[in-house]
Amino acid sequence: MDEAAFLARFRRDGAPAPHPGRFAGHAWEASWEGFARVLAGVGGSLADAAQEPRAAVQAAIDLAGGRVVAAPAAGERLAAAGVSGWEPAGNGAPGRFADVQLGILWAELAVAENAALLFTAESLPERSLAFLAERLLVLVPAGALVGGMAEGVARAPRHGHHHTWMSGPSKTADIEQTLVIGAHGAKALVVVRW
Amino acid sequence: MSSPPRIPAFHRDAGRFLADDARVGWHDQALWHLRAKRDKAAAATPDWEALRDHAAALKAHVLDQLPELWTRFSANARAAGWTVHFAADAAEMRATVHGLLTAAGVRRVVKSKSMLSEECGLNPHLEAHGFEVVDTDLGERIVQLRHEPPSHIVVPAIHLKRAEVGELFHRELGTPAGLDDPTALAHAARADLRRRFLAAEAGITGVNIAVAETGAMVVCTNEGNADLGTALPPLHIAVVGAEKVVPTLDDAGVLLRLLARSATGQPITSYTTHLAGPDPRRPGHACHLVVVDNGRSRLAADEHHRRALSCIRCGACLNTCPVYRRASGHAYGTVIPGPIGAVLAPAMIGTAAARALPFASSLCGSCTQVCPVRIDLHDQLLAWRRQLADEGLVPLSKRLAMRAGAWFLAHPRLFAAGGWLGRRLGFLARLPIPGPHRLWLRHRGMPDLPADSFRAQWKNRHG
Repeated sequence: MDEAAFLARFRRDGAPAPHPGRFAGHAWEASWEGFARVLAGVGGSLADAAQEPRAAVQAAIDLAGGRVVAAPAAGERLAAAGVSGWEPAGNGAPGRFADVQLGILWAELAVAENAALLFTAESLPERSLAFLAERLLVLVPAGALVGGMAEGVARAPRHGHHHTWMSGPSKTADIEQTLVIGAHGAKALVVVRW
Repeated sequence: MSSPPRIPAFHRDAGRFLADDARVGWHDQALWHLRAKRDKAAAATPDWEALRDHAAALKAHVLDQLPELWTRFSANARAAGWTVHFAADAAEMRATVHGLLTAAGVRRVVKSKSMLSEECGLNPHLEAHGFEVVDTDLGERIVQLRHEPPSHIVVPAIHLKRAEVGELFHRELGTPAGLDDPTALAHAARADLRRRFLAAEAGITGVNIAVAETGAMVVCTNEGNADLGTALPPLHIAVVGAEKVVPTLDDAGVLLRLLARSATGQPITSYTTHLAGPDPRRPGHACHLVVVDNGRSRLAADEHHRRALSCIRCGACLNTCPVYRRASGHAYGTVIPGPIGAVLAPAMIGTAAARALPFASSLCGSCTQVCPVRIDLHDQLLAWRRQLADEGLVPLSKRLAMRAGAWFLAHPRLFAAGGWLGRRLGFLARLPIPGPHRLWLRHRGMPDLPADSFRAQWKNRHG
């Protein structure tokens, strides 16, 4: 139906209830320990900081046992660090990642409160890689951790085609409330501080 | 809310579910487990109660500003490339989606969970017109293969045991007979659905939140099915209830902090995706958004019940409800069961059709205690009961019992005599009783009666 007629159905007289403003809630600590704890709780893991990131990523690629594809923002870093054994995402139909064993992504932000990682149209132009890859390795700049989700959302882009918050691997508990990792998306998710 | 609405035969259908003692016990525990996880998540969130207050105030603002917010949303959404449609009712929503699929020459559709599409009967409509519509949320897929509606808004197959899913998948997906391991079953469904995602020509999704500031929709899943369903096919159709808009992305962030914690106890869903129209990198990618009324404007104009439109569909009130946990969702006969379903149904499908539902509650208030947006659910149920009585929709037996009860309670001497007799003959209440009321005593024991009345005990203690 016509938009104006549709909206007229919801029109009300009188002053509207005021907007409550920005929520000033708990100040969450931006700690990697907290992030790691929550991430473990949602089925993911944070690579040990003692391990050199380049070596951790190379080891994961060497063990991937199949096709390894890096999103552009991750690929730039891998190339600069001399990591081998991966291919760039390139261009083409979104289904071309269906046989990818390991997807390597670059997250722009991490949130300690809920272990959410932010991917935008800049860092992940081709969304399908993040959901078709069997497993994910996510590189996060060590300085990109914020405490709370409110702060994370405040820093998320207002423009651009998409952004996704990802908290751990894909999961379901639809059969008898039993947790199963890997419902449709990644069956594992490892975060490496880069 | 499906079309045509069937009269909820709550007592009959709840009785059918209650006949299987083991299943009732298991169902009750499974839902209580979700409630416990919600409590743990709430306790681990220091600003939880303030967050609920804020969300309630935000929703109150939204309900007063729907035309303004959708106008702002539409302008930004169109700038982002969405084609925005408005549908007055379920029939128009179905026709709009049907028309879009036909115009694009689509036959194969993947769908992610959308209570709105259930409400509007979208799947049966499209299937009747030759479309292959595959539900991709695991629980929804299970109930789709069983040709039954979801019994819960977050965990649609919570009423089923793993062995039943195993048998179903053996028959439908060719898994080995006797296989009932949830991981193996879920991965079998993953393999089957992955093939369908890759072949789909269109994806239909619901919308958790529409953001006026960005002209984008937010969709939340744990499985990643909404992401595959929007990232792969060239056509995306999103359907959204008219109450789901918020002013800003920060406002959406407030609801995101509440939603998954209230639903499953997770700090956030595994995937929370914000989509602003077609992907400029994908030639020919088309995105449509259908905003649906279907009774919402009528509810918004109802001063007593409009707060029910604040609902963010987390399912917390279902998980905590002692009646829902023992009756199961199918007993309600409506797309949305549980306390929120019983509040929405009389407004959405009419008081006559939904007359049993406001009574499917002990009015314990647990639903109100857990609602993340502070809907006064048990007060609303009571208000509906009052309205049903005013409209003459309460059965004669209940009206007579209420009248007799009021008379009895208004006569203190009679009340005292009744108590004296009850304390001596109370054991009779444990005997099996004939007729439909025997169901009342199933899974429910009468408490032991004290030796003395309350008044006598008071007198003894306080003189």
